[in-house]
Amino acid sequence: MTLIEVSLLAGLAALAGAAALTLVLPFGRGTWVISAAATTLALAVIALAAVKVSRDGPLLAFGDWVYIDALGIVIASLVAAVGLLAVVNSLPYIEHEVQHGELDGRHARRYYALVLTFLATMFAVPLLNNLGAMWIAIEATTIVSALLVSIHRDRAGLEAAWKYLIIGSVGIAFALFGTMMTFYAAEPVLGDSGGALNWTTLRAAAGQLNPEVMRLAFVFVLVGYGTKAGLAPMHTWLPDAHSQAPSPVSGLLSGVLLKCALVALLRFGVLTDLAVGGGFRDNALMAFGLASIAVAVPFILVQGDVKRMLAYSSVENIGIIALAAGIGGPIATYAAVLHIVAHSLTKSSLFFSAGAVVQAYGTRRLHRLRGLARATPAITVAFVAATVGLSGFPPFATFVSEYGLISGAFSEGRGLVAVIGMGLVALAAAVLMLQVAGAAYAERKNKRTPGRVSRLALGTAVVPLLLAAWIAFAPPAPVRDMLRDAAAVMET
Amino acid sequence: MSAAHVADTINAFAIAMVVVGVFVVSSRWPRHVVYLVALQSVLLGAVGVETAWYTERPHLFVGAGLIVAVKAVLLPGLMLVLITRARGDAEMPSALPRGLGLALAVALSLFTIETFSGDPFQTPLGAARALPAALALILLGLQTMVTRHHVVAQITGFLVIENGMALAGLTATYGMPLVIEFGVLLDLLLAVVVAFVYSRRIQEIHGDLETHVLRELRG
Repeated sequence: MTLIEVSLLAGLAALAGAAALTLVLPFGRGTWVISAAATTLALAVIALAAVKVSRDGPLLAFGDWVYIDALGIVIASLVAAVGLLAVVNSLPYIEHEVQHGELDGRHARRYYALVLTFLATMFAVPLLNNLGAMWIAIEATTIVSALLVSIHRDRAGLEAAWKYLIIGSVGIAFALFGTMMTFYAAEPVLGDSGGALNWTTLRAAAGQLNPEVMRLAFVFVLVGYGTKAGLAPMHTWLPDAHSQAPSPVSGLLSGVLLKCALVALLRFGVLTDLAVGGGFRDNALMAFGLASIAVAVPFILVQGDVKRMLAYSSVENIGIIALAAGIGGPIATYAAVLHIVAHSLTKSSLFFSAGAVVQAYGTRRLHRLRGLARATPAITVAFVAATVGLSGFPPFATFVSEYGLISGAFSEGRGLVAVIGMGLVALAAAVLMLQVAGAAYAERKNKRTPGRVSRLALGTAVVPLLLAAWIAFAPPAPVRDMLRDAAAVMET
Repeated sequence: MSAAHVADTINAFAIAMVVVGVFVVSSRWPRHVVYLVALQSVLLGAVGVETAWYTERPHLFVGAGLIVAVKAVLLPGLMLVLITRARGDAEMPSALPRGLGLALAVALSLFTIETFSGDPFQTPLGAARALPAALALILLGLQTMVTRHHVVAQITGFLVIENGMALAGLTATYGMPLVIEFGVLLDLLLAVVVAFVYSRRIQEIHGDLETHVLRELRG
């Protein structure tokens, strides 16, 4: 067994063991310490794998069940980093919920166990080579995270979780059908061994796959994983689930889970483009990307609930990533990867600070949050900075990725699409900033004294923002190369 | 048994699954749809057994056994327990008048089967009706989920969609590798168990199993 295999197993065992321990031991700070320790270990494992991949290139493990390439590493690193931040953020969040009677000890323990399990399933998605196994992992993320969405046991949480479970499951049933069709296309070429479902094998033989079958397969996968990734018009479950979940979990859902599904979609996209050609994949991705951006704008504008507003913004940003991936070419594809990173870090930061604000003020209604800056200045600065960071301004990462999208589009001769898309994005950014500025700086009406915002919550909101800016503007050479290699995986 | 004979029986099973699916869409009572979906899964298992036997693929026997165990016994059993515990025997609501729903289901099935029964949709065994039937089942499952706002109908609608996809997979590619099929069924089982837990809570909060009460979150 290689070092990587041993460490992957150790990481998995740590997450599973910690999940079991949190369920058995009485609830207390210890629950959090165990969870944070396991998540830190998982982060270390992914870091080790990243070093290995950046030195020796992509690697197979456990026979050919696990395939770790740059794209997989980028996503897994985001899962690990945002996962650790979410667990850290959970300490003040869950303590507040327990103190205010929103959660009892039993459900608080269950919360940590579910978060750890959720992280384990998300790690599996970008690292599994077998597309069938990847589907199983994605469906598992739905089941576990649905339980997290409804952890508060209130009516709205139940409604959100029910819709999420049902729409999510039906949606990705379509992806399973697409996976079967890919297998159907591959069988005549590769034989009916398990190899016909391995992405590495399929990638090598993609040019020989039946184009008609692959075209249909991609349509099913696009609808299926597109549902899970929150692409419009299949996004209807997303604002409910992402806004009703506990805020650290909202950060995970919007920050990384959407990207896990998106990467599954993009991997199928590579096979489809090689088999079908003719820009079929690109046009499909651009169409769904534009639709997602366009659908989100009015909902951000009229939204009265701060977390729902952030959730709609996730639909928009997934649209941006799909648009960039659809435009294609080295620059726009790089922009897509960078936007994945930027949105993961920025949106989780936003949900962490929004969570702290919502707890401090006891409301999610934007008009009742007015005048945040005077009463809780530090977290407001983080919240506003993250909003600006999400809106494509320097010195934040989305500036670089959106700039890359536009310049990439012009060099690929797809300037018009980019101009339309970015026009809508600018509109969405203006609307989002207007909403947030209103909450932060308008005259305060709510006379209630807000609760205290913990330093830990503030820290988890600031760290990912700094990380995103650093990665976009001054990435160390290995990180930059990794992002470039990840983009190269998507190119055909 | 000749190849043509095998194709005929698979066609017959597939069409029978569609007929059962039409009854699922239009059935009044929660228990009836559970029995129907169990019957449909048995028919699916029969397709699996026949394919396994004729193509001499022993792993398909296991796959068919798993399908019957999970989709025809375990999940329907769970749903019957749910209905009993939640005293959920009341008639299920329908967004469409029952006659219209039934007519739509029949029209949808006939249209799909007629339209897609051409050459490109032949399975390797020559069962020309299997893939169109699978498509019809997916549409019938969707119709059930869209028009019947009841926990049991939502879950069975999902199972009908799953059955359609499994029928297509089984007849077109002789199923996926067994370990994957197993994982898929396990996920399916877990998803339905979670849906089951939620159903209990819906019943606790609202007093029945109807899901149209779940519409507070909008915009």
